[in-house]
Amino acid sequence: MRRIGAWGLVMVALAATCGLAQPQIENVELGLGGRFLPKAFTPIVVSIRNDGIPRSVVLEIFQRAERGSLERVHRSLALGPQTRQHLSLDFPIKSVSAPLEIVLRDATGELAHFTKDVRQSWSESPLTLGIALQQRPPLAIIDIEIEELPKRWTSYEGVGRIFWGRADPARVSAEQRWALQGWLVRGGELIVLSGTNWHEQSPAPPWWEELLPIAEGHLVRRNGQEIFWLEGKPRPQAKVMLSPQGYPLAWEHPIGDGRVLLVASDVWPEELPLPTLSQARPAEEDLLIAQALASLTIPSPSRELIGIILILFVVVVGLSGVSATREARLPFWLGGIALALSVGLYSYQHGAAFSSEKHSVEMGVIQLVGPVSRESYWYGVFFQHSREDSLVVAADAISALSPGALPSSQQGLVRELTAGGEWRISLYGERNSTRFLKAERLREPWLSLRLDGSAVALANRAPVAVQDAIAYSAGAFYKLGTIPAQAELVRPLSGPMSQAAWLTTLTAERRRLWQQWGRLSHRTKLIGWIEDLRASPIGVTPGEHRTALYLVLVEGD
Amino acid sequence: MRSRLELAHSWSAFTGYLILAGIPLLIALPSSARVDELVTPRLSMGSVFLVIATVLFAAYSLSFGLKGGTIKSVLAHVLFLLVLSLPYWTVFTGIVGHGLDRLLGALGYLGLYGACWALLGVPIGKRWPTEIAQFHIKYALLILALVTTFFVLQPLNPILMLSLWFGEGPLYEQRGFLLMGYLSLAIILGILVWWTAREEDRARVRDAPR
Repeated sequence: MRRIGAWGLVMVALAATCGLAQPQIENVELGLGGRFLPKAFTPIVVSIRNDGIPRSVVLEIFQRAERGSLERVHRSLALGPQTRQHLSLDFPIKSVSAPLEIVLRDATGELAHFTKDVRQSWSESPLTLGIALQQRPPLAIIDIEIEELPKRWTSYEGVGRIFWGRADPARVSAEQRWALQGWLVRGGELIVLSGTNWHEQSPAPPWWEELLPIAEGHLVRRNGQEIFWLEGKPRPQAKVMLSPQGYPLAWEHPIGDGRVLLVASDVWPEELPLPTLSQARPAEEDLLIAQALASLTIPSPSRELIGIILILFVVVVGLSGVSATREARLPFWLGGIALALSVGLYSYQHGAAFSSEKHSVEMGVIQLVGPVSRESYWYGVFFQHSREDSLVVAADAISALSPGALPSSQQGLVRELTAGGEWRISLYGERNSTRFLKAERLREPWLSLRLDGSAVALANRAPVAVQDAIAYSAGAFYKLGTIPAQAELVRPLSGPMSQAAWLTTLTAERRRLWQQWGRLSHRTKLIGWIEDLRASPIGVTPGEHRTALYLVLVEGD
Repeated sequence: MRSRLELAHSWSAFTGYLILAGIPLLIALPSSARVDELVTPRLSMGSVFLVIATVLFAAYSLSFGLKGGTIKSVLAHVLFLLVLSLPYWTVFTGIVGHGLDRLLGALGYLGLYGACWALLGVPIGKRWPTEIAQFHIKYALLILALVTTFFVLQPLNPILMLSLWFGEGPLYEQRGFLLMGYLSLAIILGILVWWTAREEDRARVRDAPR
């Protein structure tokens, strides 16, 4: 009996221990192959073990930087009992000296804290990845497996170049494909070394075929050499980069801001120099939003009107003193006037025209390039009154900006990934202060067009209209007018005009946007504008007055 | 109510208050401006108005008490000054971007504060009837009270309290402080009303024809 009692006590103690056991952060891996590029979004994998009871917790990642605002990422998690979870998300590591801190907390407080030293892991230049390389180019290359390729395009932000060797593109998952295409459109450089690797690379899925500069690729032996060379039919936008002895050795195919290089052999040719990688995005890009916000006029109740009313009131009070002292009693009618005046002034000052607590400007560039719609949005907000602000942003990447043209608040910023996959941005806006954000996302293309001789067939699947659309063909601009939301139509290409003539039709805001981000190439098919806030990934909050302008660019082969 | 001479004096106080507090308010009135002008740090005339309007309210309230009179008449003068200044505070509330709740909260405090000073002025006025003595005592007391309450008994400092009401931060974090200020003033006012009423009764008995 005593033994049973003792065992019972042991079991109870064990159960209590399990129940009380805290979740633990077992490990944190960052970057690709353990390396990362500072300030770029870096993939971070957090391994969490829970030996205790099921819990709802919040994972928090931050870095205590010496300068700049403190940025935190939150993610809610449901931890099952006796489970181990691997959570992956992207975080911009801004300081290479401060450690990365990962905290697990619930309503009761902090449950686990992990500190990751980043000093040994950073890279001065964008990373170069290598996949199944047999012949390695003389570069610092991080070898990774296909399965380790990122599933989010944001994880690629620190990557400048990928060498693709003897690997089958069919092994790339749908998520990885989307991420890779997004990275290419945003300026990535994919170098495919074919030659003997072609046996593994082909046949490839259609999406991969469309990336390559040539079609109908096949291997040949030239001049009795043992080396296999790739040959094929170049695509319209592809160009030959190197052709020793009259045979193409390398082709280039531009994809958005990026490119795919195909090398006919499995060795990188020494004659073909590779440009030095640098962080692509110049800081000047962000200046436009600061300038736009700076020039925004904040309406105020008429100073003159209120001033005159108050002066008249004082005059009335002064004059009424004559009658008041004659009657030797306080004139309560004057109190009535003061009350009525107060009500009127209150209504005027709190009228709809002056009710906005924050005024914001949003600018966007929507580039429909091949299989993706690459969308970048710049958001600047002026807080007329201090407030806790919470923005819901449907974007893949969000970053705080300090454009420099306007002083930006150094208050912290919290990004929380919601269950719906959107981000909730929490920040505190001080009175008369500004904040800037940049949001980026990749989507399926929502606008398609087909140029057919003297007409263009358009299909707009978005819930917003594209205004003042212009078709660009053979160096001439053709007015298409407004493309209504969710509409398919055919418009004739008539009345061509020059670029200079088209620019004169733009408003000052549109011209500024075009000068900053507009680009015209032989791939450009359509230029349009959206001024509808429903196109924005950044939700409008109560008490906000926002003006928005988005440039739409459609490119294609 | 009071005699014509006393009301003429009070009226100069009402008008003087409106003119002196009105000047910084007129300067503080914002006009439509670009964001880059608004984010530039500058002297806030709104704060200057807040300080001047608050300090002068206390000073004029004390003056009403010093001139003597019944509790009812003294408090009526304070209330009348508060009502006359209502358009100013309304405009100021609009400038700082707050609503009716904060306006009423601040005016409630200001009214209580002014009433306390006014009733405190009644016995002082009786004890030191000469104008020069009243002048010295009035400003010595006001300066002493305002400076002291910046360091101790802060809920009794009207500048701190009104800065909270018209300030930027959320009020729920300061509700204990606010409650203490209102309760303190209510208690002080209650004591002063009771004491002044007792003195009035005694004076009535003393002055009654035998």
